[in-house]
Amino acid sequence: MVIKEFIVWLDELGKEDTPLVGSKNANLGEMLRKEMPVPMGFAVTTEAYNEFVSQGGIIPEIEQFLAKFPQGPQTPRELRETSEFIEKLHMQKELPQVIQKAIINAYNKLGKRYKLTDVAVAVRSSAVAEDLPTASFAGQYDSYLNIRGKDELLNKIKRCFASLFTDRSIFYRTKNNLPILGISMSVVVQKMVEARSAGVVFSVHPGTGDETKILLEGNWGTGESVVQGLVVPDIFVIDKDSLTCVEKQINPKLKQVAIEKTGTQEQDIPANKQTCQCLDDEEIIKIAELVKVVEKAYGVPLDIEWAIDQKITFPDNIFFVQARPITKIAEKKDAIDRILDIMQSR
Amino acid sequence: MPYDRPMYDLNEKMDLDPNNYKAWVLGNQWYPPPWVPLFVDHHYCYGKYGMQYGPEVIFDPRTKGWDWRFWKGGFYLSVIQPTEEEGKKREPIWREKMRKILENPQAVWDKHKIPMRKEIDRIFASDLKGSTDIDLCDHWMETWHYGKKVEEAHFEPMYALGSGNITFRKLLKQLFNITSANIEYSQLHSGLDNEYTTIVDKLARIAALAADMGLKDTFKEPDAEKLLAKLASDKKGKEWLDKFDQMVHEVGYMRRRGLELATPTWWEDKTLPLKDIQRYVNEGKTTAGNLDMKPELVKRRKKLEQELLNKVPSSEREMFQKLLECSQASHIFSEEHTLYVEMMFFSALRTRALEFGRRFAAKGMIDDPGDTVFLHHEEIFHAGIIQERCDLRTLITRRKNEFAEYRKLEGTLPPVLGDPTKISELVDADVIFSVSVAPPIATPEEVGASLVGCAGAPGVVEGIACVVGGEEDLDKVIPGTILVAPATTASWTPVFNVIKGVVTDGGGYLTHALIVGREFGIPAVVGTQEATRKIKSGQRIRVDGNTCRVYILD
Repeated sequence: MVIKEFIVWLDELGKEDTPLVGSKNANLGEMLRKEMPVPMGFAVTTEAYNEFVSQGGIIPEIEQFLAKFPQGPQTPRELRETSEFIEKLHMQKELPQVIQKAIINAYNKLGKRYKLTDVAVAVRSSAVAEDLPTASFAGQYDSYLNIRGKDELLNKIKRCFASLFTDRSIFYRTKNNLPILGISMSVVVQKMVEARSAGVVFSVHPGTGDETKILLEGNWGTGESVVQGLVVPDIFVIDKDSLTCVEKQINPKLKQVAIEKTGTQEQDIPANKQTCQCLDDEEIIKIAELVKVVEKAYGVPLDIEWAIDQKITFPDNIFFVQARPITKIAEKKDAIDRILDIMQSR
Repeated sequence: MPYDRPMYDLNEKMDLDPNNYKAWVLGNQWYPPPWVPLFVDHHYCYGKYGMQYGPEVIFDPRTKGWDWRFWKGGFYLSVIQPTEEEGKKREPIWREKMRKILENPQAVWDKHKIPMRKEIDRIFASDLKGSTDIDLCDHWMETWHYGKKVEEAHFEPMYALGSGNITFRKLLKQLFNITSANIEYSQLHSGLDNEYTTIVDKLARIAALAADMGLKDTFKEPDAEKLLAKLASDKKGKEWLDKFDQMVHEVGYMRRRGLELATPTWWEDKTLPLKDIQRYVNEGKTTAGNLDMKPELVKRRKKLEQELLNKVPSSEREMFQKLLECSQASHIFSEEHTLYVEMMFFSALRTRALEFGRRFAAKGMIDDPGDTVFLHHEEIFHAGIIQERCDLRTLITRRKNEFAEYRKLEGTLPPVLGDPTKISELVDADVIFSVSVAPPIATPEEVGASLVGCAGAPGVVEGIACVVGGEEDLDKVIPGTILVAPATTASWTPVFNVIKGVVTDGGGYLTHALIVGREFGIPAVVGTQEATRKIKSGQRIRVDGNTCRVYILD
């Protein structure tokens, strides 16, 4: 008997596992392989999904419903009806006991790892690459943040499964002659960073293209405020060789972004914190150290989202949550080129 | 046609059409009208050439230099703008040229200055009085045509370095909120090696010598001619006069007014520097004035440079340093070129024209040796060859009458022809317009001041206004007052040692009064447009160089 893998830990995954766990999970696995300090978590695999929909009799019910539309649902109303029906179906059915157990077991282990009870997790859909071109459908599937406790966790995992059938994705499949059924979904359950401060770090100075410098930007709260440009963040430049901070700009930070379950919430930063440096010098240097390691592993300049967890102690409190190759490094311009640019734009 | 030269007469229909020219600005800051014919002739031959050579040689994508019009004896300037397409084509070449300049900003002036000094020294060394008429004619044409090189030296660094100055000011504002009115800006540009201030230094030192030699009482003689006679009749005085004469011999190319040919050099009239010295001695400004502060200025500048550099984000540091260097080079050039171009070269022309004048007058061709400045260069040349066979009086009388007509209009010419609101567009296109002509930063009504300028030298001072029209009034400047003038030029520098403040009608960011004001620590406001019209001599005024405002208190 083949033992089905319903749960796989992120540090056991890699690119080759995409069919089993979707691209998001696989990427997180790759990040861990490259020594990125990503928050730990586990994948609920496509096998778990397949087990869920076949055991619960979900597929026959969907097929029956779809028979109403020989050409597939077409109008917005038809699409919405279909989507609502399928979603409701998913939510009504229980996950098979064996899967529930596996998930709860993994969730508890995750909490232990960080010495936290009811550890907050992010629950995100991880689509299988063959399905939809993720680039154009980014953000298509559901994502839930700050989820605590097993009941809520199980509920949100089902919601992620159901998000395979939003009206938009059904429409996309119909239009491209892809089967509406027969595709699968995986889910990421990952420790949520309870960010005290967060931001972005560039392994190469993006303004000057200087490869010997790391540029670190940060604000209080989650990294959203930095990514969205809501505040002028604190800025640090670190020399890669000597791992010393060669420049500090502590800017007045008026707003931060807090995480709610389904989105983010802008908040005012208390006056006494506005002009305080949002991370310690040792944290700055530690981040730079990690950036160096990761950049070496990737072999390209990276733009990384980092966060510092408020409930964990240094140095385990530093997390990288996202890494991308820097697409727009300033071509390495010298000072004179930049002066000429200013003169030209006068 | 002014002075029989097919000059650029203003064609009201075409030139005031906003589709052709945005506006015309009276160039009184550099070229106070009216001009004598020989000076007009130089500009006809090489002045306009230089104004266009400057931007053309660096392929400036936004300006092809200045156009000019002659109107009622006044000299009006506008900017010739390339089309957008032309500008695009020029950009890559301009970047290449500017890169070289930014790599070594001082070089763009030095490459002109060093050979120019050599050539001008050679011209000055020629034996005028001993030369034959033919040799003098030859020497005259050679000197005249050297004017082309001089104008190239005048305008290439001006465009090349001027844009560096502007960009530096932009960066300084952005990084530190420092503008050209702030003391920090002055400090960054003071205590630089600037040959021009050495002239003031020489005056102050020789004044100090007079005091040291116990000649203070002798200098109480108010009349300069009588003072000379008194000094000559006394042993100590004679000793001092020898030193004084030595100085006049060295730097006698100095004149009261730079860009023109009508006023005498120190060589011709040594009472000119003597009056400055007299004032220094009587005012007790015998310690080389503020120039003794130079080591202090250098120290302060270097300290500030370092302080700012430490605060500049590391990614911008090299850029800041390069631009600072370029901006400082632009200040040095701005002062020094007046010495080389406006003083030395134009004095060479004048002294040569006067030598012809002396010969012409001796032969009865003209009445006054000084009249040759009412001729064109080729008229001088031809008359120089065929001396004795021509009478130049009719021609000169006609030209003098024309000059007198223009003189009557002096001070009545409007500062702008066409739409004054368009000046800012010209300033945007042409960096040199912006360093030399800039609109006031606000209207007086907006800020509740009597006058508002475009730039200032820092400091606030209250005092009695002393309004003067031109350099001929320089002797009337009362020590301890605030000088109010249409413009000041390099030749006014000695006066800065005895005044409390300066206000000018014209001016931009690199105006003489600002640069010298900073060097001497005197508050200044330039570019007020109408200070000489609004302020009366004797009125109490307050000059706030920090905010570019002037208040009439009476």
